[in-house]
Amino acid sequence: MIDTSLIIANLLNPPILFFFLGMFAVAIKSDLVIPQPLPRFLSLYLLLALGFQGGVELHQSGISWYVITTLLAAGISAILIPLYTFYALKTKFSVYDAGAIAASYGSVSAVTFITAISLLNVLGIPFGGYMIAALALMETPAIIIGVLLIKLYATDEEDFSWKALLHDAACNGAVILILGSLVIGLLTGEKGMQALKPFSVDIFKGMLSFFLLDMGLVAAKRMKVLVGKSFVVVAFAIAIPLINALCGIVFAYAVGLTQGDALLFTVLCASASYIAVPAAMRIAVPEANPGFYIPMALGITFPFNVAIGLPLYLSLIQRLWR
Amino acid sequence: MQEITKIEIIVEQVQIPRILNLLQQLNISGYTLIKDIIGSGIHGEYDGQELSDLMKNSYFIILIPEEKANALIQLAESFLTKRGGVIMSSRVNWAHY
Repeated sequence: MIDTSLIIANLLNPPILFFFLGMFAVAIKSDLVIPQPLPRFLSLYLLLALGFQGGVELHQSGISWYVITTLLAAGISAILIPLYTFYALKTKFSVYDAGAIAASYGSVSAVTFITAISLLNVLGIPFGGYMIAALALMETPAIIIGVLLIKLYATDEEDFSWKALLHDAACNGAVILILGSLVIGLLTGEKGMQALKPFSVDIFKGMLSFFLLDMGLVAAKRMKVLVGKSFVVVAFAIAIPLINALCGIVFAYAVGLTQGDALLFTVLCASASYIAVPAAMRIAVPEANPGFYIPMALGITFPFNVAIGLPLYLSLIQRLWR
Repeated sequence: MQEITKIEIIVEQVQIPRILNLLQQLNISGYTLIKDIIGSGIHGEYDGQELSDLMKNSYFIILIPEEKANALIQLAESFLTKRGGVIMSSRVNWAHY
């Protein structure tokens, strides 16, 4: 079902190998650690470089009806995915956990998205810079929908500030940085790219490799937390991205996206947030157990998408688009 | 040196704005905050490895008169009951320069 050449291309991509190196280091109890300020710097760098590159591409391509349709599709998916995921999860989890997990899976993982871009670059498949705007667009609605659903079904009433939640969701640092960088790229175009190319393009893959090494270390630690937990938790963490990816592929096909854009759109649908959403949920819904939504997103779904999901989704897209 | 009450609060880093809000409600303007604290407790290990401010704690040290300390403990207890965390109080000798 999966094209083996895609699996090999994905697995032999240096950033992916560094990810597995991180996991291997944890498995053999190595003392390899990336000092904490560095991963944060690397994540900010990746968002800045990615946003800037997307902005420059958008400057070149312009904003067409196709771009608007793609962004609309992203917006609709960001609302629908947490909704149906919540009702599926509610059959096995408490309302609080179902809402928090649905929010996590309704939002996106920028690192999975960047890894997909890296795979597309290796394979020479083109994609549009506007997909980065789609990433930013899909980051926050799930937080609001997750909390809304919890408030709808939870029985206890407590003081809760929607104003603070909306502010936290809309002013999320990652969204501000990626959208701001996109606007800067859009305004400065080719001249801006020439000025920033050594920083935003040339070292991008090396920085991504370093960051994925850290992600491998963290993902393996979070995976350990799940040892001994219910099979349902692990099953959901694999089933949700698969279902969301299938919906994403069908939606992308219906909208008429190109193969490269379709993969990125599918990855946005299939990935789960493990940075912005957990932080927002911990504040807004303290009753939800972070022992579910963090390890599920980071310990299972992220490695699954990076190792198996990307070539699987691309295989399906290539077959369907043929 | 004079006697004063020392309140120490350990909470998840994401809760810092909420603790600052509690202090503001009681007009407490002086505090010391140590970020990125790691450790282990009844909620498991806080290894500080997350990119979000989860899995890491923060440590507040607040020196205040006894009556304000009692009010703060009362407010903080209802907050911490739901969100988890630790609050400690002790009488200490204090001088500032």
